[in-house]
Parts: sequence; structure tokens; C-alpha cells
Amino acid sequence: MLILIATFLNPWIFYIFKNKPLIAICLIALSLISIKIIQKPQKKLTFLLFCLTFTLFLVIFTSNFKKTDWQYTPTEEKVVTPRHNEFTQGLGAIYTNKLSLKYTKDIKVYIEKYIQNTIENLDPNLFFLSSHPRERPGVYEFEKYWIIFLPFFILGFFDFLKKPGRIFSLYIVSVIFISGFISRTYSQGSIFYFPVMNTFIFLGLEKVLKLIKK
Amino acid sequence: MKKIILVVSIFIFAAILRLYLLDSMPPGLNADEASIGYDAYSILQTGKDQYGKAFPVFFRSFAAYQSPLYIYLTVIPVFFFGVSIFSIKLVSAVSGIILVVLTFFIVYLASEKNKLSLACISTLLVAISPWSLFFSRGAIEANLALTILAFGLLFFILSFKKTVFLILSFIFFSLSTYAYHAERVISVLLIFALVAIFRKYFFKQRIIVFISSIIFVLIMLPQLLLIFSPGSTKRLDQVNYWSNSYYEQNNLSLSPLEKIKSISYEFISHYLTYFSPRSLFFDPDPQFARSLPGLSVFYIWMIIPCFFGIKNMLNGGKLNKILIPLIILSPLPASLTKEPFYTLRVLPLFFAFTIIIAQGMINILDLLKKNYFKFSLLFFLTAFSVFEFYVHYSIFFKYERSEYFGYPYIKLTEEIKKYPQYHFTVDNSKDTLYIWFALFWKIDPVKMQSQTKFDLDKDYYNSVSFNKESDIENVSFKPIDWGKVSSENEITVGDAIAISETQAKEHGLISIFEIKDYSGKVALTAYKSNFKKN
Repeated sequence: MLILIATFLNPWIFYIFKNKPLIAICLIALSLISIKIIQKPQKKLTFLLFCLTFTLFLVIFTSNFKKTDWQYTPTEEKVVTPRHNEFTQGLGAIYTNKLSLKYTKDIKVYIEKYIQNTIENLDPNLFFLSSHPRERPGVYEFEKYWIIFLPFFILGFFDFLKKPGRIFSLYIVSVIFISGFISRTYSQGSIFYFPVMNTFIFLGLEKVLKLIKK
Repeated sequence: MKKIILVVSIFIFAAILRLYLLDSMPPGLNADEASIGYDAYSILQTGKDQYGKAFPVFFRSFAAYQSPLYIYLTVIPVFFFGVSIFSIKLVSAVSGIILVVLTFFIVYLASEKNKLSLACISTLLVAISPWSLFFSRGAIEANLALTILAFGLLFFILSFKKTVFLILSFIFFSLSTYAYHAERVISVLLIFALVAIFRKYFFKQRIIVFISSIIFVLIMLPQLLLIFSPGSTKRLDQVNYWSNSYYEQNNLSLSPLEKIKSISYEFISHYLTYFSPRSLFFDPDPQFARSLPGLSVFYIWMIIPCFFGIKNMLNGGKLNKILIPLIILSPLPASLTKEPFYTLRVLPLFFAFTIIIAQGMINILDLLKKNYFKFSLLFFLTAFSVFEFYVHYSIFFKYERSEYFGYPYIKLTEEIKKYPQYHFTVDNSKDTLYIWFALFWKIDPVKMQSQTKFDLDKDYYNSVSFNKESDIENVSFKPIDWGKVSSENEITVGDAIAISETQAKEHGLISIFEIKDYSGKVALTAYKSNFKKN
């Protein structure tokens, strides 16, 4: 029952189902598997979890890849372009050598975009409050979980931290890593966090139920 | 001996980072800092603030009613070094250095495992963290408040060895409320929380607790007597999201139930923002004067030890029992205000998080077997962090935000001196410009007080309206009067929005000098009439 509440009682899955039903079905499967693994780790389920996640990632990455997502926007260009002069005046030869210039011109933008995509996903407001009060311009923000589940999420997160399982910890790190490659403007949101969020909410619900039974 | 040298080296390193080129990096003061400086100068000269109030409990400033302690302490460096950017910022810089020292003792005395390592790493992280460095290098009242709060925490920890230290602890907690607005709430809640958490111990010492509480209230008494005055509540009135004026200003018409829902939603969203990794490690404070371009309050690499540290925090121990209420309570006052992620109001939160990150670092360093690798990693992270801070502070901040530390206006104070025969009108739509002139021209406070007293429409703590217009010597600060710009001895100064090139041409004005910001862009232009006498 708690597994179903954690997986289905959120507007996010219905939003995804309305727009991309196949992806929604995959995410539901991932959510159910990850909750099962946290209760009792199993090799087959672990293998299935990672395989399905990476397959889904490859599908979404390849079908939604846009070069412009990995370039500076016009607003960012206005800030970045004058910095070449600022760096030259402030850093001198540390900046004006071949290696630094190559890094600044060709590589830096990808690292910055990756970090931006990764870190912006690590925001509880993104999931429970449509990123309010720090809404991101140019990104469609929508409520993924009702705020009533926030306390259960927090409880579940701390409960997990007390005794972090290796497999699920590795899964979380993988999710954080691959989510950085998906653009922040992806219409369905940070979907790879769906099983992780549901698992924490499940743990929180379970903890509260145990306390009530006591 | 080696350990003492290591610890002292960190203190010296922290001092260098905070004091090096304090007056010129960045080269300026914002309006609030200038107001602090001028009030300190006025108190030193006359015992009264710029409005003629003798030793106020809150300084009216721009009708925001600032906390007083920073200004009173700034009198000391102003006395020794004169009015300068250095003397105005010195109190915050020294507070930042003292905070680094206090961190060592707080962590060393309160922790049970790895005392020295944890204390050293905590100290090092406070020394190099962006939030601590940045706010130590400005005239920041909140930084002073945090240091005083940290003294309170130190004596609180010492009270477990000798209970009489609890009195000192409460004294410092009470004094912190005079340093910054947020501490008025944080200190009170923190005292309740700490005594409740350690109630088994303090119940046996209840007489000392009672005496300390009385002393706490007595020190706060001057503030408490003004608690319902507009002066005391003005700041909260300006920044809240639940008052009727807020809803009127935003054209919102909500039923009582909708209001409760809206306020709860705002509170929860603001509170959570202060714990979001995105806010702490990536996105800077949205207010440009309080943040560095592209650098948040912690370096991005700190996110990894932070998660390890949070896990550690759940294991308990005296240090964590002190940090947890600090973490939970610090964002409460800030969450009642409409600005998202207002860093100044939550410095105690960042202080606590820095120690949590240090605990996480210990876990990570324990994975490395050899000391050589541990020191190399720490050295690399320190060097990388200081370099990153240098880039964002000495390059980006200096070049991109010079208007936020008053650079063009300070230059203007020097340039206007070259034209004593002219009357200047400076467009004041962007900021309260008169204060830079009052400060850098060292205007006689008695003269200033005789002028500003007319701004007080009621008594000092009830005069909440503020008039930005002012006259200082041959300069008037007010909106441009297009009827007067063509006068013979009149020079009009403004930015490109106040006076466009088209407007200047239409009114027959020619540019006589320009003030550029640090990046070389024209920030202000001075125009004179092209009129020639026959």
C-alpha cells in the first residue's frame, strides 16, 4: 500500500503519463524496483534497475539532445564575453597561455552547463514547490509532489542517511551523474530522480507508520 | 609544538585574507557602509548621529533603523585612522578573524572524537569559505553579530566545565541582538533550544540559568522598550510578505483562508531554500551587492563533504547537539521576509554548515591512509578555493559590480572638487548619493544635523518616511529639473537613463566630464549648458 502511495500519489507521474506514457511506465517500474531494493537488496533487481535507468537515459539523451543546450544563451554571452578582458587584466599570463585559452573557449561552457544541470536538480523546492522562490527563467516549472509529502521525504532522507545501503547509494550517485547530461529545459523535469524521491517518501511513510503502531 | 604552529598559521592566513588590500579590494563602499562610516564619524565628533540623536538605540540611517553596535565600534578605528574605507571596514575584518579563532576553540572544546583535526579543518574552512571572506571584507553588521554569537556559543560550551560561564554566554547572546536584526530572533530562540536540549544539566544549575536570563533581558531592555515603535519594526515592515500593505502593493485580494495558505506556502518555500544545495553551492544571492558573480556561499567541491557531514551529524555528540538547533533556527527570521536566499540574515546557518562540512572532510580524509596524501589534498583544495575566490572577488566583482560598491560616486566626489565655482545637481533616482559626499568630504556633523533634523516629521524612532533629496555644499541631490539645466553656472550629473544623449542635445547641454566604472563603461556624465554669453 505504501509503495503505491509513494509511486502514484503525486501529480508528476500523471503529468509524464499524459505526455510520454512509455517513459511513465518505465519510471513506475524503476520506482517499484528501487523501493523493493531498499527493503531487501537483490542482485537481479539491482541489475534490472541500473540497466533500465541507463537505457532510459540513452533514449532521452539522444532524442532530446540540442546543441544550443550546451552553449551560452544570449544573456549569458553578455556576461561571459567581457570576462576575457577581465581575465587578461586580472590574471595575465595565467590566462593568456594556450592551455587556458583553449579551456575557456572550448571546454568551460560544457563543464558549466553540466554543473548547472546537476546542481539545479538538487533542490527540494524543485520537486515540492515548483522551484519557488527561485524560479528559473526559460524553464517550465511545475509541481511534482504535493507539499504534504515533504515531511515524509525529509524523514525518509535522514532515515536513509543513518544506514545508507551501498546499492541504493550507488544508484543515487548514478542518477546525479546522468541527470547532469539532461537539459534543464526537458519538458518532463528531472525524471531520473523520480524513483529516488519515491523511495525516500516511502521510507518516511514507513517510519511514521512504525511510530504510530508503537 | 608543531600543532600549535599549524593552528597559528591558519589564524595568520585568515588574517591576511581579510586584511590584505582591505581599502582597495573592492575600491569603494556601498551606501549602507558609507552611512555607517558617517554615523560613526558623527558620534565621534558630537556624540550624536547624522540626525542629531544622542547615542541612539537604533540608527535611523535611511529610515531603515540599523542595529547600533557596528557603528559604535567603528568609532574606534575612525578615531585612530580617520575616516576612510579601511577604518569603516576594519570592525568586520577583525570580527571575521576573531570568528576563525573562535571556531577552533568551539569545535575543539565541544567535539569528542578527532578533536584537533576537526578543529583545524573547521578553522581552515571558515578561513577560506566565500561567505566568511566576502562578508569580512565589507562593513557588514551581520558578520559582527555572528562573531558575538560565536562568543556566546563558546562560553556556553565552557559552562559545562564551570557553570558561571553561562552568564557570559547569555551576555554575548544578548549583545549580538544589538549587532544585527536577525539575531534578535535567533539569539532568543537559540537560548531556549540549548537550555532545553541540555536540560538535565541546566536543571541542576537553575539559579545560574535564572540569573543569566535576567541579565539577558536587562541588556536587551533598551531595545525591548522600543519594540513596538515604527523604528524597531520598520525593517520587517519593508521586507515581509504577509502585511496588508504587501497585498495592496501587489494588487492581491485574498480571503483570510487564502492568505493563510499563501503565507504558509511562502514560509515553507523560503525556509527550504536555505537548505537547498542549489542555493548553498551554486546560485549566488540574487542581490548583487551581497554576492559574488558566479560564486555561492560555499565552493562547489564542498557539496561532497557536506553530505558526509550531515550523516555524521545524525550520530549526535555535544558539538552536533549545539549545531542542530543553530541550523534549524537560523533561517527562521529570514524565511519571514520576501527576498529569496538573503545571505546576511543566515550567517549563523553557514557557520554551522561549515563545521558540518569539516566533519565530512574528516570522513573523506580517513579514507586516505598516508598523512602525505591528506595534507596534499587539503593543500590543493585550499589553494584552488583561494584562487577561485580571487577570480570571483578581485576580477568579476570588481569589474562587473563597481556601482554596487559606490565606485562611480566616490570618483564623483573627487571630480566635483575641481569645479568649486559651479552648482551641481546630481540625479538621485538610483541611490542615496548624498552620503558618499558627506563621508568623503567630511562634512561637519553639526552642519549635517541642522539640515537633516527637518527630515524627522515625528520623534526619532517614529519618523519612518525618508527624503532622498539633500544639499551638501555646492551639490544638490534630487531629480533633474529640466527647467534649470541650462543655467549658466549649473552642472547636471546623471547616468544614461537619467540624461540620455538625445535629451542632452535637446537642452543644449555638452558633456564636460565622464565617470567610468571599473570595467571602463561610462557610469555618470556631467553636462553643462552650451549657452554662451554675448
